[in-house]
Amino acid sequence: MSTEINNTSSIISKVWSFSTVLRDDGVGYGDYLEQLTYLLFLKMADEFSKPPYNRPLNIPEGYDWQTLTEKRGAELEIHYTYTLRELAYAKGFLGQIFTKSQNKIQDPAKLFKLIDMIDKEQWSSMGADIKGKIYEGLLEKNAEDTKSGAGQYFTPRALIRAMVECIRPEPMKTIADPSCGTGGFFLAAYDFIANPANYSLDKEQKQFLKMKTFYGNEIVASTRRMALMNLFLHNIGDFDTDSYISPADALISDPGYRVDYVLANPPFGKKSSMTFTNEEGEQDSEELTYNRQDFYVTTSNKQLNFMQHIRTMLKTDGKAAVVLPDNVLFEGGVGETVRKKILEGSNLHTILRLPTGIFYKQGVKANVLFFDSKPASKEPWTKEVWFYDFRTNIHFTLKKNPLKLEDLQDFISCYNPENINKREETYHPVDNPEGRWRKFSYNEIVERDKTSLDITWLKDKSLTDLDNLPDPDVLAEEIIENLQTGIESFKEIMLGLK
Amino acid sequence: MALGYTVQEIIELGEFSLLVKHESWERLQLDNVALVQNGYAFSSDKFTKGIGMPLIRIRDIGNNFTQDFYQGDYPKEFEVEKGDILIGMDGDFNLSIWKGEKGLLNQRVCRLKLLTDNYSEKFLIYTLPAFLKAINTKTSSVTVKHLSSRTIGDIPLPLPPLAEQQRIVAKIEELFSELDKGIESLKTAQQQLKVYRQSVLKYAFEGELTKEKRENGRYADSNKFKEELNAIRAKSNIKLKFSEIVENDDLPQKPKEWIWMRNESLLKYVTSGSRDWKKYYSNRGSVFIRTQDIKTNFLELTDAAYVNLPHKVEGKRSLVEPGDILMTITGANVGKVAVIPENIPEAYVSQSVALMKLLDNRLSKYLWYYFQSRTYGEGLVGGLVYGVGRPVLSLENMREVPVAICTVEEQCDIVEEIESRLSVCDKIEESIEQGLQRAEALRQSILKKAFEGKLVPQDPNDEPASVLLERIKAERAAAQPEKKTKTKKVKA
Repeated sequence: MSTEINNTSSIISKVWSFSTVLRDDGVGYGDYLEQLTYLLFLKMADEFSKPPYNRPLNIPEGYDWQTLTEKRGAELEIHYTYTLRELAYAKGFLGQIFTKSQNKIQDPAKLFKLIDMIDKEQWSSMGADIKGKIYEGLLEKNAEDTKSGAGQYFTPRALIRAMVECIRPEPMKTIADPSCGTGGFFLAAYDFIANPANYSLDKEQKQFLKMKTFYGNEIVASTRRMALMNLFLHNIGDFDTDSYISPADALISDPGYRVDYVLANPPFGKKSSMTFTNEEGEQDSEELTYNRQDFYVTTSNKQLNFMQHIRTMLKTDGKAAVVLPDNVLFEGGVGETVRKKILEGSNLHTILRLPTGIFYKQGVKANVLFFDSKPASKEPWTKEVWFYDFRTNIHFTLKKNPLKLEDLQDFISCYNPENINKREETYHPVDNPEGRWRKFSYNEIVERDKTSLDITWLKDKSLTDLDNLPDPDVLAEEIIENLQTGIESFKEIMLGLK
Repeated sequence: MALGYTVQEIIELGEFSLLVKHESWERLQLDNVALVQNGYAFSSDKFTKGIGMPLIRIRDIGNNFTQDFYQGDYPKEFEVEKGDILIGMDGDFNLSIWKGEKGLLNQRVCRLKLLTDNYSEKFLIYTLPAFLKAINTKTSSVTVKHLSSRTIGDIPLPLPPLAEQQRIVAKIEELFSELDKGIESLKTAQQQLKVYRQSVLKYAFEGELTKEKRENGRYADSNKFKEELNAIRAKSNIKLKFSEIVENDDLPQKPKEWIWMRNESLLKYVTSGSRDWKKYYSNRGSVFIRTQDIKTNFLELTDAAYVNLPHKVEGKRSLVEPGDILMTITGANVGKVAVIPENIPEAYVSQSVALMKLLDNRLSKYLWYYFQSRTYGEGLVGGLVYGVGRPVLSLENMREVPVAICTVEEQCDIVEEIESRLSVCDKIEESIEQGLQRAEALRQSILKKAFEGKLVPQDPNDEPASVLLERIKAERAAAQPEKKTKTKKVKA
């Protein structure tokens, strides 16, 4: 038993430490992940084509794993490049993985070392959790490399798990993420449903979970590839599945299907726009607006569009949990219209205000909105909105003080997933004015200027408490964040003026 | 006489960029779409401070509560509801939406009531302030400027197609809400900077900024420093006492290697200016430093006072020298401190400013920062201030203030660390101030774009402004003649 653990953790460290070797060659985490994806896939396809699985995958002749392992030196590099090109044209899952693929490891000696390392393991019999850990670990390291911008595809895992614990997805139901990035929400939902402490699944349910539960969109090819691989290594989907992650832009049209749950963190940045060369030969940009019948408003504001899209794709009594930035809560004009419609047409019952310092993009102020879809009605469905202020006086940093699931336990208890209609405020104006869990009635909200959901009631200690001064470095961080938020606001305005 | 132009003429002057309109729009006079109602001369003998109906006077415009109330009968037509548009007719001609409880419209406050659905009320609220400001600029006055309701009624409002009005309003609201958030973030950062300064000072005197060096044994023993000080004192024949203070719970934290001393241990002497030097006030001579000259914790002599001193005069002890520390000892700014810089002309302190002459000028900056720290110097001094109406510090107070002392070397390092952080602070402060100003300029430029018709595109499918204009005029014609509204007396 202990040797098994030693073996498995050693493969994790082998794979992770190889990334350092490659870094010196100018191959970053992102590129390493890509190449790892291709090679791992070919190796696993090879293993599956043999006993005891005997499931051949129709890899084109001469481009399979065996052939690759036989090459050396310059010949290896050339063959590998051809392999990637060929496989990109393949159909189905195979093509999805290899689409637009390119070799980034120029040194054939290092390429061989990597191939050799992969060849020595039996991946198909390795536990999904190990494989998963290897891959997720690299994904996280990739996200931390903020220059690459990969962080925007990576929602902090602690947050995802908390959202899933609140939503409590059930077996035999469908789950969608229209901007799925690397598939983090799907993984967490899978783990929740597959956890014997929550449900014990029969064969049919297991199969449904693996093959028919998840539906996503990811427009960036390399990210989609990572998502597919990430999920595949975690035992979701299979070689011969129709790809359940569409490359299409989710916002273009109503997907047609309806799902039971939507879990999402749409990309940051409000405006969808296209840059093109105009008649004068200059670079110009045009806002992309999505003109959809099912939308309340037509706008180029990406966040509002995702809100509307998610509302459309939910079944009646479907549940959504979506990470959205502050501007969705306070913006006037179309923002106000969308807010009003969501409050009326669905039950927007909970808003979790998130602290700064948890995302891989600086200065982000975001929230999680929980809402349940409802049928058409004359009366507004939302009776109360419950707010959990997890922002005022709370600070995390990505390295020294990262967000953990335990930090969100209090929120989950207050949320009361077993019965969201039986909740209790922790806030009380006299007994507990610093309580973080508080409800506001529909009427109170609708009376607010612009129906703003940007509600706080706690005093910011960094502004008032001169007796308990925080550490100057902590304050400096906050000042920087506020400056960045301010700058972001002004940038959005400049975009809005163009 | 006060306003020598019609509003149309003001527009044509071309001096005011927010009074423009898009070429496809029309203009129409405000009294076609809104009723301009003057307030009522409620008699002041019925004014109360809390009983009866809230009475909205000019000073209340922009607030959501009134300072005065009216108890008595009043005509119902002067009741103001939440959401009503109010304009002050004297002074700055401010416009604001009433957000308070139901109240009464006093004289010199007028209310606009939209008479039609064919003009967007929100659009009206965005257009008017620029007109009011332009009218105000062109109104001359002896004392206070006056605005007439006739002028308001004459304002030639821009008239875009109705659908375009609504699009413009939605866009402005979107951009303004983002702008307000941005400003809020900057202002919060500004507030936090103040706290940050104090936090740095607290850190400094807790010894955190020099902790590593201290733990690596970089600094000599504080006892050695005591000996040094005593040596200087011996040479200079100083009368002030040398006393250490025993650590106790009333004192803030300090590193164990440091020593608590009474301030007088570090000084040659403490004094303040002479009371009867007022008679020497002149517009040149020696500088006479008063409390307002050091209220920013810096010595600012741009508006200095001077005294012309005779040769032989008592109180030359109050002559300042570079390195001296000054502290305000009376008035609202009690406790402010400044260091005398190198290039000081001949200057003396007034009776409200204390002068501390240090044993060693190498201590100056350290002490100056020490006395700015709310946790340390400023707080400890503050605890000694007495007097309820006029806070006062005595020279004895200054002598006894506890100072957390370490060696000169460590003091220098601390000062360096403080200054590198605070200088960044200053730069950021500056940027934020600039940012806030630019934000206001941005607000105006958004409005300008809006009225130029460039904020949102025109839509050829909209009903044209010319047609809208005809419709509104027809609507007005049909409404005439207006029935005279009966004045109903309502009990308060």
